[in-house]
Amino acid sequence: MTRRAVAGCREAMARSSSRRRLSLLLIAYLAVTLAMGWRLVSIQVVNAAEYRGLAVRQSQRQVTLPARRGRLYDRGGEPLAMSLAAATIYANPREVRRSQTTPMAIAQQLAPLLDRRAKDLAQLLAGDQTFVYLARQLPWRVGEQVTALRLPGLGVLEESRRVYPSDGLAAHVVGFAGVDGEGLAGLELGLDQILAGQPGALQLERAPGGLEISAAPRQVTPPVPGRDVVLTVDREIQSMTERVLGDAVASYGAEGGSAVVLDVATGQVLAMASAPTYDPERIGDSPVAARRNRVVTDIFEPGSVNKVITISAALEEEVVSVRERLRVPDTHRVGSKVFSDSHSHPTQRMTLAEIVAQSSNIGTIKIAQRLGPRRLHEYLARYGYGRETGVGFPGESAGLLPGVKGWWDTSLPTISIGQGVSASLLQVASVFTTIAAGGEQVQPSLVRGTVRPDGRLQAAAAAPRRRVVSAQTAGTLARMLVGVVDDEYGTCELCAVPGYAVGGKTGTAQKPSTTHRGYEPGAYVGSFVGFAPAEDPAVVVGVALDEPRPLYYGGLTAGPVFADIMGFVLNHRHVPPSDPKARSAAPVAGSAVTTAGSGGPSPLASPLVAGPRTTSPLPGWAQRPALPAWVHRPARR
Amino acid sequence: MTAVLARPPAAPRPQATSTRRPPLRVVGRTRHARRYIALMILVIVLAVFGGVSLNALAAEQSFAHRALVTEVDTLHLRLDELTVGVARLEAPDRIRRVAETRLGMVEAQQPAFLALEPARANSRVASRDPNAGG
Repeated sequence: MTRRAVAGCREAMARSSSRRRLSLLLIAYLAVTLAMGWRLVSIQVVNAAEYRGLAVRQSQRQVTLPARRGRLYDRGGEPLAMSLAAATIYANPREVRRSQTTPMAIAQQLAPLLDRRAKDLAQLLAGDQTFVYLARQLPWRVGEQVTALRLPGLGVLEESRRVYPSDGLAAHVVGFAGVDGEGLAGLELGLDQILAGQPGALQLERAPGGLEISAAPRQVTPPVPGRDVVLTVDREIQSMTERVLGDAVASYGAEGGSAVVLDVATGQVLAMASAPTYDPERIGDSPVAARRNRVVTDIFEPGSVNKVITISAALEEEVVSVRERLRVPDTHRVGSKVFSDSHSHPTQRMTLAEIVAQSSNIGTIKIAQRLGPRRLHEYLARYGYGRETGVGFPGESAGLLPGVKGWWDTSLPTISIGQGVSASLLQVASVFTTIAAGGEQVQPSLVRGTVRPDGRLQAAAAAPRRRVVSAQTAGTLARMLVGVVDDEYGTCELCAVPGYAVGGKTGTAQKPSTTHRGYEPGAYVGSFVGFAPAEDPAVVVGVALDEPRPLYYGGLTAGPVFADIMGFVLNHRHVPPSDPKARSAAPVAGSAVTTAGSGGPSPLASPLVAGPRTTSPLPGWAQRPALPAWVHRPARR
Repeated sequence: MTAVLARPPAAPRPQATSTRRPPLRVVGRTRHARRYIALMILVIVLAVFGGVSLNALAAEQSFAHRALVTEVDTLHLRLDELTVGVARLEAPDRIRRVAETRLGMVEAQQPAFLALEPARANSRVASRDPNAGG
């Protein structure tokens, strides 16, 4: 009985232990299953996106396809900036080390191709990196030569190189782009969004070793090339302007100079030059100061050029008439300051036209006092002082026009003669464009349009226009400005362009000191801004020379530069000369200037002051045979 | 008690006739199956061959396409280089330099303009005064 009980007990215990083990095993199995299930859910559902990304990164490779950067053309379609394929040479120094060729041996083969010292290259090749640039943006032919050498650890990448094929022409306008193809200065920067385009992408499958699986499907997002832009600049006029300006800056030993040529009808910039200049393909060789587009980024106190605003405001507000003769002494006290004319003279009675022609400070101040500060400020602002012209050039300066509330008692006379207020040469030239266009201001522009995919020009939106003064005021003032060049006592005899009636204004302004209050002694900006032909203005040219020496008067320094540029532009644009039979010899004295072309009477056609009309032809307008554009000089022996 | 259904009377057996049955035998499926398999193999072989051939053709065309694309790129590159070269040669400063230094030319000082008068059928030439300076 006892033995049987013990056996039964053992059997029961064994059965119980077996069940427990089975239960444990089941629990363990369930636990493992749950863990695996949870892990599956975690991978497939919860962190699916992360793992998908990892898989893509491991098996796929995305290659960025750079977009072709748009070109910049001059108004005639000549390229000013374009991109070429360039070779960038790189090396994997670790791979070089694994090869049997020494770094110096590789460097010696590369040095003549890359135009670098073998020692420097060997130093780069002996490093511990996996990637190092040896040279960037070389001509593509060099890349092909390097590839043909089959050197270990070396590779060639295709990049884009920006070239400026017109010998750095209009460098200040065009600007330059960086090695990565992004615009850094000038219109390359200003139009970057249009020029840059959008890069594409190429999706490749790759094997674990990193090799491309060529049979695998590729996903290509093609790049969108940048758009080509046509500028308003005329290559011939730009070249001439740069050359004449550069010569003047060199001959006067000036700190710098700037010149701008504007089309009166459209406000388009035909040329915009600054000196000193630079080569955009060799940026590192030029000082930063030489890269400034002085025409739009530099401001200066315009001096007597500014008198046209004072006079036009006075005419528009009818505070003075063209017949009135003002009493003009050579000095005049306002508050604590005594103003004087540029030369001493006895007290005179001068007409408005004589005040303009002789650039009388005192006459202008007396007119400004009749006008008052509020109205003078209003006209300065109307002409565009104190705000950007809207030409669309990056870094354009708005100039400085202090509010009337901030004016002192001497501000009115000072500002009326162009001191105490600052403007860029483009702003000043825009004032003259307004007068030449009959009182309507056209916003200056640098972009003529973009090139559509079919190769046609898509013209830019028309520049906005607004009336500043009446056509009558503009016409009257324009005739007065002809006296600056033609009048016996005019301030710029050297501004004359033979065959054409020219109107304009000289400026000789003191430069504000950068170290102390007041002006820099002996430092002047000589300028001349004018238009031609006066009877139907086609072009405005503005020139400013920074600290010319030993002469500094605008009429003597900037004037001849103006005449050279204007003469070339008129001939280049086939503007016929002023009609010798109709053109007056002395418009200020009361004669008439009539149109030479067939475009009908211009605002300048009416006489300034009623009186006898003199129709003396220009001297020497005899019938002469035409001369070719280039005259061959006999060969020297 | 269940009723026992009476079995219907059996049909009379046909009497044996003296006519002999035609020698029939079971036709095996082997011959058709072989043909069918041969046909299938042929189709498969042709399909595989066709597929491979098409793939090879596509690959060949792909290589030709790539070669053409490369050639177009190279020609574009060449065109760009030539455009740059032409622009450099046509640069106004260079032309002026060459005209003055190599060809001994000078810039004209007195351009002339011809004013036509159609009513009179004669012309008038106006030019700058050579003594007026410039």
